[in-house]
Amino acid sequence: MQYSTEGMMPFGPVHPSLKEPEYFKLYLEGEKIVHVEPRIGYVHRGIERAAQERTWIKNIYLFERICGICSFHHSIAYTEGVEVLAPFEIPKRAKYLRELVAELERIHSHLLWLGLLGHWAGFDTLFMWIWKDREHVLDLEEAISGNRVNKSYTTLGGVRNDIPDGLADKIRTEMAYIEKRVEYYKSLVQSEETLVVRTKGRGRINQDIARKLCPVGPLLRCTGIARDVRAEDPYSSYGDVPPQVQTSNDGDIASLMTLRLNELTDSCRMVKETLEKMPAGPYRVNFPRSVPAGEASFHVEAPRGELFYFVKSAGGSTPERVKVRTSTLANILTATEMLKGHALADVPVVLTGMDPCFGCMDRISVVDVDKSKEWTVGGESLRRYGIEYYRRK
Amino acid sequence: MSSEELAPLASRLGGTIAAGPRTTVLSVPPDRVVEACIGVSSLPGWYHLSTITGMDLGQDIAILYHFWQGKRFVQVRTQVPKAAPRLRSISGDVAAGVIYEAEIQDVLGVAFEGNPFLGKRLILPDAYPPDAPPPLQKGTDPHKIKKMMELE
Amino acid sequence: MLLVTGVANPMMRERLRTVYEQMPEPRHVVAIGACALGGGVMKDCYSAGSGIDSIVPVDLYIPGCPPRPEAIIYGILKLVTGIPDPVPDGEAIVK
Repeated sequence: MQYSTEGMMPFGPVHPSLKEPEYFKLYLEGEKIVHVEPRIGYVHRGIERAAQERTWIKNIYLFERICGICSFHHSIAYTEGVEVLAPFEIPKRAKYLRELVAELERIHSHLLWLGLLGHWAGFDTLFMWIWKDREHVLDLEEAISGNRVNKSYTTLGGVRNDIPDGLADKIRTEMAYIEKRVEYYKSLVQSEETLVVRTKGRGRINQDIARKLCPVGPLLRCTGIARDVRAEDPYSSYGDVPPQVQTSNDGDIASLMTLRLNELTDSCRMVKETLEKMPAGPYRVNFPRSVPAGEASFHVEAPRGELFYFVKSAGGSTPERVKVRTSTLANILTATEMLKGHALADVPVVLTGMDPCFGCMDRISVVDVDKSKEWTVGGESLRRYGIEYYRRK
Repeated sequence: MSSEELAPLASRLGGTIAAGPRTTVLSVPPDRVVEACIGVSSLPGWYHLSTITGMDLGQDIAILYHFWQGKRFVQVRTQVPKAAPRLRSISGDVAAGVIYEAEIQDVLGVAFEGNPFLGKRLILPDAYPPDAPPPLQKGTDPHKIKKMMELE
Repeated sequence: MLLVTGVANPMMRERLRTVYEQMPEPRHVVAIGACALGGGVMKDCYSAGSGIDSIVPVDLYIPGCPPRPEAIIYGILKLVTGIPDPVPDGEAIVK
């Protein structure tokens, strides 16, 4: 069905409160969204092409900067993909260390998301509390690798350094702290009316939509489908320390909240278990400069879902082709489905609910089909509009 | 997904199967690609289309459809000549393919007939010069592109 | 005060310029991070800019990939207070 583009409301791509620029065209009939068209590319940089001219090791620094939040997962998807291609076996201790930092990254990412959801729903106190707790995790990541994001911790052949001696105890203490806080947030999101009203029944998807559109990560698991790359296709040390795959059943934003909170608890468990079971030994071995010719497909479970890398070597010291498919790109179609049928006031919360990472993927425009009116809405205005709308109800 | 399970599909479509350690590749001629994808996605069990990759091989452009079957990757593979880069879109039957095809349209210049993004850009900037070759084709110089877009 | 992170790719370029022109005076632009400074690791990517100072005038550069939160706070404080910084003061602010 063709919609007239006259009643257009461009939202984004730059606004004081939009975290990353993107552009969705929303077609409204009355109050309800009937059709959504994405136009991404606001952070398209040309990384896949640049990768062809960098050596295998230098590409790690490039790929981990695709996204600051799941940066480590990009680097392990790339390094383990190349290690499969070579093929090259890394020391066991390195695998455990990778899993440790990957789960820490999942914890910080889910906390970030929950805080943002609170912010968009008008619950800024939650945002502040959660982001303060998140600082504990970022401090751990910095103690291990030297940087809070873009850690460059993994490398071809293992990881760059071992964890310092006293740090294991600190990690355990912080995990206990995070677990306690997560239990508190679990009770909060069930009882806090601001959140419940804005998230229950919102953005509802079901298994049929999931089957058709192939979303990944929590967006898939909130419909009750228990699929997680860490369990299905274990990488690093996930074969020895597997996740307990969490699901929730209602397919709405409230389900996503519960699901991610449960994943947080599970990640804390995995961090502690990885520390316990970590074998002694080297953390890194030398990796050859060139990789034999061949192709490999590889995926990891980033915080937002399956992150897929395809690597091809022509036998040289630079890759011939690296293809990256990020989790948010896989979820765009499902996100557009989630938005349909909702009022404009729900857009910030539903869109945040899919945990978009546009740096990973690559603004919202609204078309009023009936009135053929065109107006611009800023991200902050839309957030406030959403809060006022529900306050009035 | 074993080679045996794929064999009937392969012979029906005039394709070949190559089984690697993690991936089974089903190569088919370009006009049978839609049927191959429908075939793979209807095999028993849950299918997941991870992505579609395009690669410039020189004279041809290879298109790889990566399906994840729960234990292995099944890759449907075809190639089209660079001089006539056209394929039918799978998005009518495998809806998840629409975004991945749109990306290949932008970066490699392959046209997927039936894809709603054909003629529109998904990820390339509007300022990308219309007479410049697509960025991921061999021989496209990123520095020249940057100069044309006044980024240097 | 406009804080800009990341490379400005062609899609963002006009938007950045527009947002800058919409700001009332006095206005300042802070470039945060290696990409905003000069393209960073993305410098040779075909759709990445080479620093935002070719698009808008920049008053303050904060390097880092990413810059630490303390560095960002320190830089912005310096811009706002406007006094030249002998090193001892800088350390006091950071602490």
